[in-house]
Amino acid sequence: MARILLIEDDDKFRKMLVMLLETSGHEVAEAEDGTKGLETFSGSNFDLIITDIFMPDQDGLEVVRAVTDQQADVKILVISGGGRQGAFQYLEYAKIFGADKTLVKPFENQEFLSVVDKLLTA
Amino acid sequence: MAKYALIICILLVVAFFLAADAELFERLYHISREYEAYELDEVFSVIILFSGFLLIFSFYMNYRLTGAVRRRKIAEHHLEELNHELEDRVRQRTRELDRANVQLRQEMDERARIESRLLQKQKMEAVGTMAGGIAHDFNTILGIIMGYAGMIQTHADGSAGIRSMGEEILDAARRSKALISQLQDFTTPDQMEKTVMDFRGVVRDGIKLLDAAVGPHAGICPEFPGHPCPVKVNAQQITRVILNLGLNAVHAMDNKGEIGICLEQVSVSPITAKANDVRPGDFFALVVSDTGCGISPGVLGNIFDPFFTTKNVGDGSGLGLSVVFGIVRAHGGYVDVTSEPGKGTRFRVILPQALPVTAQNQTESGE
Repeated sequence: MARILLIEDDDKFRKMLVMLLETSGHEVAEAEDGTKGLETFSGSNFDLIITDIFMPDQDGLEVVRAVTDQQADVKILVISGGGRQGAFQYLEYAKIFGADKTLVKPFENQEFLSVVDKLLTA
Repeated sequence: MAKYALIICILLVVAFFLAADAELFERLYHISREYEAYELDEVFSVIILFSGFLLIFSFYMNYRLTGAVRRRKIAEHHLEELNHELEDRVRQRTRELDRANVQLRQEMDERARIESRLLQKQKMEAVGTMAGGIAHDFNTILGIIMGYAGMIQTHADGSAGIRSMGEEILDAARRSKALISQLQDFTTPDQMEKTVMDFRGVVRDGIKLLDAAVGPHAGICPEFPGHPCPVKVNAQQITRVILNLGLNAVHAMDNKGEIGICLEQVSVSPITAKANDVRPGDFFALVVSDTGCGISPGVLGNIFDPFFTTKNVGDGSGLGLSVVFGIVRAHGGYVDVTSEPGKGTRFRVILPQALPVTAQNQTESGE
């Protein structure tokens, strides 16, 4: 079991992922934007942060930068369903900023859980 | 002397009159007889004076008439020259007008082509912008659908029916994902990675896939030049172009007939280049032709429009040719199409040559 912080502004998508991760046996904390996500992160230890890119207030890239600046021992998975231009560019930026893995929405459950497992066991 | 000469002249004139009119001689004789009281010399003097006057008058008139005729001839000559010059000028002006007319027509055609291309480009950009704008939310919604559909399958507890329903939802979501992905290809296909490759190899690979997709329904007749055809392409995207055009050809031929696929080396003139918004120079044309039902002129102008299709609802998304257009534009090329209803259609995908084909390359026949 791992502790996962999920930062996603879309309520239904976030709830779906929470359900999927909890069903897989993980403990999940959730946040609806980057600012709240970083607040949640600063108070606890997490094994994995899963964050969307396009969010109000602080976006996913700022989250990645803030977390990597802290040199925290945590894996980061960035997900995005933005326009191809945005998704491609921002997902590339996320990698440059320190994300361990990126995933384009929509994805299938198996694909998502497989990526999560690989990051947690890496 | 002058007097005698004058007399002789007068006599000659008189003789002329007498010879011309004997009756007048008779009358003169009678007059002379009637007026014998007068001196004969005086009569002759009058006649001489009158004749002299007539002679001088006739010389004067002759001079005037001759001069007038000469001037008239000169004037006629000038007039003729002016007519010739005028005709030359009219002919020259007509030629100039013809040339200007041809040029104007070419410019009008070119302008119409440029406007058409611009309109097409704007349409694609509008669709691309729209696709980019909705993609984020749309993909997130699809993510929710796919996520819960997957969980339904996981929690089906051995119910094959529920698993099957979950799979149907997933299939629909996957189709939607592919659709939005195609739309996204309009936005920034130029970001795709391209490498210099031999066009022949790329097309051969595309034909293999097309052959597998088409099956026994239609024959494919490929023709390639004997020399390398270097183009800078994303092979995966060009394969999509070949598949889309090939499958359209099969559909146009009602699943039977032959698809012609060949490569040609073409030179694009500045005018054609300008009309198609590319740089003039050497290009390679991938020609995909069929002997199918053809495309009517009224439809031809819309075939690259996103979501435009002549297929039945559910048979096609109407994005195939739009994707072809977007991919080819992203490679710095253009698509040219000619079609004749009832006879077939010919698509030419024209891509810029990456490197000059040297004589050495020409001998390196890959065939």
